[in-house]
Amino acid sequence: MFKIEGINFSYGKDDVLKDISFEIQKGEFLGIIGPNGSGKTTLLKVLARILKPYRGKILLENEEIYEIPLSEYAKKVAYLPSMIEFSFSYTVEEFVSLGRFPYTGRYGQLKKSDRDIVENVLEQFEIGQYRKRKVWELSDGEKQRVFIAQVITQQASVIILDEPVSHLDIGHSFKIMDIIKEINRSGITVISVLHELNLASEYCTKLLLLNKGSIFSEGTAEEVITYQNIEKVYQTKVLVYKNPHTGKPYVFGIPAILLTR
Amino acid sequence: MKTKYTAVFLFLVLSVIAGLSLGTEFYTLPRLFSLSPTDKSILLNIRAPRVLAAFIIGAGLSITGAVLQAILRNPLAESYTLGISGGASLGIAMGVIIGKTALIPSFAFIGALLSIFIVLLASIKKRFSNPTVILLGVALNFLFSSLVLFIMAVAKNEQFQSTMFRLIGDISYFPYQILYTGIIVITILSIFLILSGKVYDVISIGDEKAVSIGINIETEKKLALFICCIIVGLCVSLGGIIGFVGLVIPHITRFFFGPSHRRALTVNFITGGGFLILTDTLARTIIRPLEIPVGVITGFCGGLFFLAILLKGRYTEMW
Amino acid sequence: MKKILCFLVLFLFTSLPAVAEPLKIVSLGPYITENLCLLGLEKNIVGLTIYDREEIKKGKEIIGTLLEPNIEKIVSLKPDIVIGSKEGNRQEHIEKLKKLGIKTLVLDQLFTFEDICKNFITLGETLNCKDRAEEIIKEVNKRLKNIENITAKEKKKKKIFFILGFKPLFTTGKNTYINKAIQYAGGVNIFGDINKKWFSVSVEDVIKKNPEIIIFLTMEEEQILLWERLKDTDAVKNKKIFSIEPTVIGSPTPQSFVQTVENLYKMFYLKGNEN
Repeated sequence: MFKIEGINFSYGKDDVLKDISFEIQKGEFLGIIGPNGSGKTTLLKVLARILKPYRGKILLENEEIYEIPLSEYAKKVAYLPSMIEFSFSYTVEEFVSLGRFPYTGRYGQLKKSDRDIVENVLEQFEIGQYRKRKVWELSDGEKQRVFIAQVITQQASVIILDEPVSHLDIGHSFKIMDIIKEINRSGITVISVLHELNLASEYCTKLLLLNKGSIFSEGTAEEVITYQNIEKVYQTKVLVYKNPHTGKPYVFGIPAILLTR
Repeated sequence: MKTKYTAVFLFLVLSVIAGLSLGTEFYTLPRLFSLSPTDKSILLNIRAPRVLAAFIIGAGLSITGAVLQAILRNPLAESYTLGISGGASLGIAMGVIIGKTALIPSFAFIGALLSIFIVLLASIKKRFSNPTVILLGVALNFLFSSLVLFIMAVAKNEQFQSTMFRLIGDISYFPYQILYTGIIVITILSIFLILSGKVYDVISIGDEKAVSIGINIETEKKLALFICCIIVGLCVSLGGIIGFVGLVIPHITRFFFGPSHRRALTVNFITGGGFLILTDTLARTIIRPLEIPVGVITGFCGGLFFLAILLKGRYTEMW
Repeated sequence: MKKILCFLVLFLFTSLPAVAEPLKIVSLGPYITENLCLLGLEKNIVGLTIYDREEIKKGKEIIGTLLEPNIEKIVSLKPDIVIGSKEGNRQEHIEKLKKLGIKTLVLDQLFTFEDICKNFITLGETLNCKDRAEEIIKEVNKRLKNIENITAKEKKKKKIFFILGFKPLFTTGKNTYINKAIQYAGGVNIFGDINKKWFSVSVEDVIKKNPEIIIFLTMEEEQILLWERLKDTDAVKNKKIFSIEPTVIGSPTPQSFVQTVENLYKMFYLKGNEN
């Protein structure tokens, strides 16, 4: 579906993304992992057309993404940044409905079909009870459901998420990741930067390990999450075992202070 | 919701009635049926134009204030904070100094455009983020204000007072020609802004989000800024620098009607217009026959408003 | 012989003042200067302010502005007398001059026509030409009487609106010489019943009074805005809007006063249209 060829991007001086090439198949749940500053968020923004690489090609279903009008692209690819830093006191219903903008257009009003879609999404994410509440009054977990709900109303075939659960507690993290997995199972391609390696291991069908702007490793969780890779990239000693319940690789960090004992 | 809308409409109607009936003569409904030629002259030549001017200035400043707050994602944004008014006041001061008082409205307009041009140019060239744009606006304001004060210091005595009046906001002397142009242009541009309300809704939740939802951020922001600049330029050329209307009215509207811009911008237009009609009527009747510049009253109201919010401690709710 | 000697001595004594040094006067403002010129003492002025007329300034020293006269400059001119007015000049400057031993004269504040004449006489008395001053006053009064007789024949007095300043709109009430001038010229100041000197009015007040003639002082482009608002008044409809020299207001002399009255009369009753 997505073909990324030779992407190079720089904010000014040094290259943040160096000659990145890979492919994403339809229906995949791609997790992008790597240390801070490795270029994960930048890569997402490049795919979301928020940043433009100075070299390279990106093809979505064999079309150059910059040849697609932005309003059309929004119907294919939806992006959720790691933080939504400001908003007026929109209600949950108003906020989620904004995701229909690519379909209603600049002057368009919400049609019945649009309203129905919003209704379904509110139900799907169990936030219908909050519909008249202000988004900012909700808890972090509830807010994140609202943000993802809005992304879903865009009805895009690809969803790009930047660290969707990094600021949530363990309970909410899993709940949200389950929701995202559900969405992925319904056929939507998901690309997500994940901070927590073990979540990436559990939920993603494919992983991309970035290091200093280049792809260090690409493949399944078993292939990518090895103690050698992690040590090399994260510069820290770890143990990697299999999660007894799921069989997926599980990373145990070893605090250096304990090693010297 | 319906009752709120009728309240707004009633507010406007009452303001217009107040504006037309108050002054040296008090025109009540029965009197309307027995108007002397003098009365007609007063109503048609003085009060009606003034009420119209106050309305369109208040409407224009309120709607642009709201749009700017959305675009910059800052509830303290207003044409003043962006240096637009600073540039306009520089234009006014220059016009007064050169002595071409008839050209002052045009100078004010050019001044407003100049400052927005600087802000736009800087943000394009340097890809400024929103907080930086606001800082730039504040810096421009300081710069322009000091230039204005310098001009006033070397100005002749007679020019001083009329400059002062214009700079504080005063709707007593404006050319009727500009009023007619202003009404048409500001109304048309405002309708465009209102219809584009959804765009501003989306921009207000984040630039990146907006791009992802399919909005061309660069074009929309530039377009909105440019339109706001024209509206503010016209407002300034009609009534000088009237502060706080663009800051306070959008807040109050959002509080009662929610932030959805289609709705909020429409209400802003009407409420802002009514508000300025009322304050202007107050300004010209409270110490008759002397007139207080209307900017004094709006400034006072604005100050009280923000004090009230701060004291209540619920300022985040007001967004 | 003795008679001739006495006569010669008497002659010498009376003509001594004529042979003596001419009086050196420093004027602290155009108001003083204009009145001095009227008394024929222009040549005696050695120092004046920057605001005076160019023709008069020739050959004389500039001693500063109304508010900031240069005391050192004044002293260096060694004047016999320095004349100022309560309106234009600050008391502290006068005090300073007095302390330096210079003779000063301060003319009283100026509100009515009587004040103008009183000050003029005072000037005459102080400068040894009381006779000339009184003569001029007599002449002026004669001209005024003349005008009064002519205007007495006009059955309907014209309603006048006098604009001292546009922003804020300032006019004159009962107790000023402008109002008196308007009266002498056969007009009626629409605000002449107000017992004040100078005050501001609203445009609506003016419309209500419906003046037939409008007089203003200086050309300001903003005036057009005012005429727009007054367009239903008789004055604007018939384009009876005139201007007069501002110096008449700022620096009135008995003669310029009566000249103004005569000019006003012409504007009120004789001239055609003007804008």
